Amino acid sequence: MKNILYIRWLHIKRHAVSVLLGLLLPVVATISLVAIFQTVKEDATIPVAIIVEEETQLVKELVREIEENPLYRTHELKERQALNQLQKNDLDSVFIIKKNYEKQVEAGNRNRLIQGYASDMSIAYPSTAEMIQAIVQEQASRYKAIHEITNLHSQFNRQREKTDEQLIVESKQIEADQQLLQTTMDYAGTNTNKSVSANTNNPVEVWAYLVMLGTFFLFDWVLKEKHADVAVRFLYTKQSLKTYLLQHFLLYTTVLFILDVITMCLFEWLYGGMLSLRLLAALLFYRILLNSSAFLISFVMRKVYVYYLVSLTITLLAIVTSLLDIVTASPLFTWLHPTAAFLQGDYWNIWLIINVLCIILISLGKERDDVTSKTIT
Amino acid sequence: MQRIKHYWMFLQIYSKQNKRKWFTFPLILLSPLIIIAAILWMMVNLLQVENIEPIKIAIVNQDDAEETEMLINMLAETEEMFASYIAMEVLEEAEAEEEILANELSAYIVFPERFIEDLFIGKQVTLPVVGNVNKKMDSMIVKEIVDSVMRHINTSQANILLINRYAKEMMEDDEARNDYLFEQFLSFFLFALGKDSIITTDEAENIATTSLSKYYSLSAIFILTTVWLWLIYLFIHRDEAARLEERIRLYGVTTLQQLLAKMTLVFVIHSVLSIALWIAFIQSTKAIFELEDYGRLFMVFLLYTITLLVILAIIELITSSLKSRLLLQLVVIILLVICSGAIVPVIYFPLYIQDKLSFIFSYEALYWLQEIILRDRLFVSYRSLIQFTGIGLLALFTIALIKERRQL
Repeated sequence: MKNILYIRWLHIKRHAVSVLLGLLLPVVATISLVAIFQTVKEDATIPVAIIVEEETQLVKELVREIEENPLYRTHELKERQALNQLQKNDLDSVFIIKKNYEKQVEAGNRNRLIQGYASDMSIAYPSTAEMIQAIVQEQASRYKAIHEITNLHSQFNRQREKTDEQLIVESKQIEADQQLLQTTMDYAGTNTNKSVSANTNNPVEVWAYLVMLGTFFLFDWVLKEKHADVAVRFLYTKQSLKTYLLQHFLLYTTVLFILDVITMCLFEWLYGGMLSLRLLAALLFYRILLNSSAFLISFVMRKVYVYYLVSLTITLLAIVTSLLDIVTASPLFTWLHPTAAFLQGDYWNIWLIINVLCIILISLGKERDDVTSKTIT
Repeated sequence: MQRIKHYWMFLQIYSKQNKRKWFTFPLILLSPLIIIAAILWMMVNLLQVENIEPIKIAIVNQDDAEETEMLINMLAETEEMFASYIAMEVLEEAEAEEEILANELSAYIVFPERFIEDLFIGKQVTLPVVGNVNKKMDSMIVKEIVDSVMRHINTSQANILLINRYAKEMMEDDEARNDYLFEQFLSFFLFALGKDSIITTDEAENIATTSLSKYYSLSAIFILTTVWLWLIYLFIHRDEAARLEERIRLYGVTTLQQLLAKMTLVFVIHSVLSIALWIAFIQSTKAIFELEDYGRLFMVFLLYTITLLVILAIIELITSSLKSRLLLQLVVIILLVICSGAIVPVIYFPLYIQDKLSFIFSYEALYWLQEIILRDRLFVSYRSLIQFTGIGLLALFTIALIKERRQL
């Protein structure tokens, strides 16, 4: 044991920066990617143009409420100018608040109050329209309420004491005081672990891919040491090259798993709400999967350059095919995709089984590289 | 003269050495094409599933009040409004759960006990939506719709409570008042559901220049050619033992000469391939495209290619290990593609990023390509692209010189 550690230390000492980078990069990159993604997502804005054909109280209120929404960047332009910009794809959509808006809303008529323009590039048009409709709807239903109250009064032959404005203030007050309805979202027939992957910008998911690349890059030692000039000397030692590689494989797996657990604790501290025994167990299986894949590929490769390219390709393919999960949503996916099992809190997949079998075969294989057998043959 | 000789020799060495690998070359070039096609295929599939098959949802009613039942019946009737993409049925909770596990339902909504009563007295009510893990997209859409409907009910509810205040003053009979209120509730609810008539939508149609498919094909080709350049760059690679490197240097061959030879080869191969691709694209989409237009197109594209190539070469110069070189090149390529606006149009970027985009050559290049191809512009300002290329080349020579000095 002491020997293994010492040898590893001698190796690592020479590539300290590279090894450190391989170990820390996944964590650091995950944290920064999640942070960047969050800020960009928060600061991303949708450019819309609002054109008003009348400057009444209600219209001003509507425009102000749209402007207050941080998701939208509103421009006040002339109609022709706005449509022109829409055609050039400089705007997402254009809304024209038509004449007589206030009169119509007050009269309880809310059809065709606003004209919306979208181009076929307008990604955000439906949600923008929805948002504006919600505000108009709010205004309209307040007037509807006033209407009903007036009806009620006339039904009982009474005189209404309050003005429209006072009633609207009252209605707004009630709405601000009470959030009556709430909705929650759960998934049927699952434990909490499964719903982890419902969240798309989940740091663990980002980390899973980065650590994949990191592990592959770390495991170039197998290739380098297998083809090193000194590898011949194993013939003259008690230990074979294969045993040496396998021992160090186990050492790497142990150390990396400990680091993974620390990483998970760090994520728990940063983002919260995900650490569980099941996740850690799944993590152990994922770590074994990564290390065994990297080990095996590195074991059969001859050129470092090609090995790196293969590592990159595998990682990129894993990222691209992860999209398939959304499309197919089949349980087969958990079996075939390298990260799916881990992200869903499961253990086994096809690759892990193949890898474990291969490693067992390699370790059981006949020890041929012994100096005596070499000299005889 | 000596320098050009060296450069020429290495150009030949590179092409000779890589001749052996030619059979893998088409595979390498096809791989990004396949990936892009696969992603597009998945996207189209995703969108079509939504369009064709309606999302099946169930409503579970645990409230035995008559009013809730009426409300649900009304919901089922208004189903026609979104019949194109939602199919509703009323089920028991156990049944609904079973159907979800059998993957027949996308989600169900539970109206809890005392739903209407709590709502009327102004008590907070929570409406659970239970989704199907295997249909996450559908479940999220259902949740969005329910949320939006609930927002409207919230507003109506506030108004109903307002009406209630005045009704209390006038109606003595509680029963009659409740009936009246429920009637109001339904009327407000219907009023909310009819909100889609507020906005009339027009597609700004007379845009002859932009069509979605053309826009995205242009973006896809831009990404494809960018990735190709990197792949060809990786492909043209020469593994030389350190000792040999040393000897080559002793002959007076500089790293710059070797690098330039490599870049030339990459540039030539890439240009042939991508120019063919551009011509095929233009021929299949555009009726009128003059020779001059081609000239502008290739000028912009070649300037872009050279700048990108120079950046890849600079990364090769400044990184010491193979790993960091690959990683850095990957990150740079991804950043350049994202910032060019080929994936998400730049108008949706945060403002502070949009302001800085004119400093990014990939954005500049894609912008002019779009102007030429989608908007038929006859004028291109090459100034900034030439500046980028010039600065890049200058940086490359300087870094190579400094590195050379250090090695001696």
